[in-house]
Amino acid sequence: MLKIKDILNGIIQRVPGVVGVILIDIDGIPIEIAGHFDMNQENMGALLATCYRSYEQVGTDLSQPLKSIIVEYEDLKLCQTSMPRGLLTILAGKDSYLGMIRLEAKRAIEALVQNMADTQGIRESLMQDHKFRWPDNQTIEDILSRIKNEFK
Amino acid sequence: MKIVNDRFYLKVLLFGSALAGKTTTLAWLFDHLIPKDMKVTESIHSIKTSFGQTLLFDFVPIQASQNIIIRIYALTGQDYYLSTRRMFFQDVDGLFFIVDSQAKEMDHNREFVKEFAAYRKCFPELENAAVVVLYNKQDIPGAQRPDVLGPKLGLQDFPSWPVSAATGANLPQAFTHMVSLILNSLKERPAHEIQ
Repeated sequence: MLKIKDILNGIIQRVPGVVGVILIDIDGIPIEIAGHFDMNQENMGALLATCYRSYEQVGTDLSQPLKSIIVEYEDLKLCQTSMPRGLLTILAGKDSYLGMIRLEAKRAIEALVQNMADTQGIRESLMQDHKFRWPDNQTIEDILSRIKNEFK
Repeated sequence: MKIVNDRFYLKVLLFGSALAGKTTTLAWLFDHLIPKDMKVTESIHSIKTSFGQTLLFDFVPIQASQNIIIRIYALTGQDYYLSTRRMFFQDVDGLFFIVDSQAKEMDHNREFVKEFAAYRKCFPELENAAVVVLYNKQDIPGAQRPDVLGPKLGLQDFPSWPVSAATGANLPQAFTHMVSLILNSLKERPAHEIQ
């Protein structure tokens, strides 16, 4: 099965003009990124999620579910499409074809949904076996002392 | 709280009336308290109105450890943007309730107490979130004390600090308390509760 990164890279390879693809969760937390963005990932994720939620709310008030957002900047186009628990955003040059971008987004989302569903079981079993690294007392003390030391 | 890839993401909100000092608090924390090696971004990311107040949010992500990211949002306090404020309350781990301690601001504070109560009904996870009340502007002459304001606003059961976002008084104590609460809550949470 393709990895998430491969799915995102595939969009860049197939659609001329695409410069970057980012997959964020519904709250804007970056899950995976491919290509190039001249912006901090965390900031971008927070902004994209907030924009999406704003348009989603407008749609709710109009009794219309939101499917995607297209934004045109002077030299760039941005296409944001929703998927279960996440948002896929494609950034492309101004001369790129929106039809191709939307089609690739749709295909990618089908693959991403499959990929993320298949890994859910693996993650759950890892967590139940306590192999996931939970913060322990020492980690917490370390974080707090670093903050306290900063102020001294 | 969320887990994405191999990281825990915790969400902390700064909530309170317009001009109560949310952005100033966040700026002080960012400039004076958050260690450089925990900063994910070089500055606070802000979406402001044309007249300089917070339109959507001010945002700072901090990397507390290799796999713990704390995302801090100072929300807009403007009533006009109430509908956008609401969407930040999902999956909240910690909330600083910023109270403007000036007597003339009592009605505005009460409105936000009501709003907070409404969110607690809509978002059940808020019941488990750590809430810390900051009685801000204590440096202003005539500011009311927390032991007076707390019972008037119905916030007396939450841990609280008299603070000044302008000078930073008591903000280190309040912030480390919040971080301690949310990290210990994370440590104690059963694996099956994590989404």
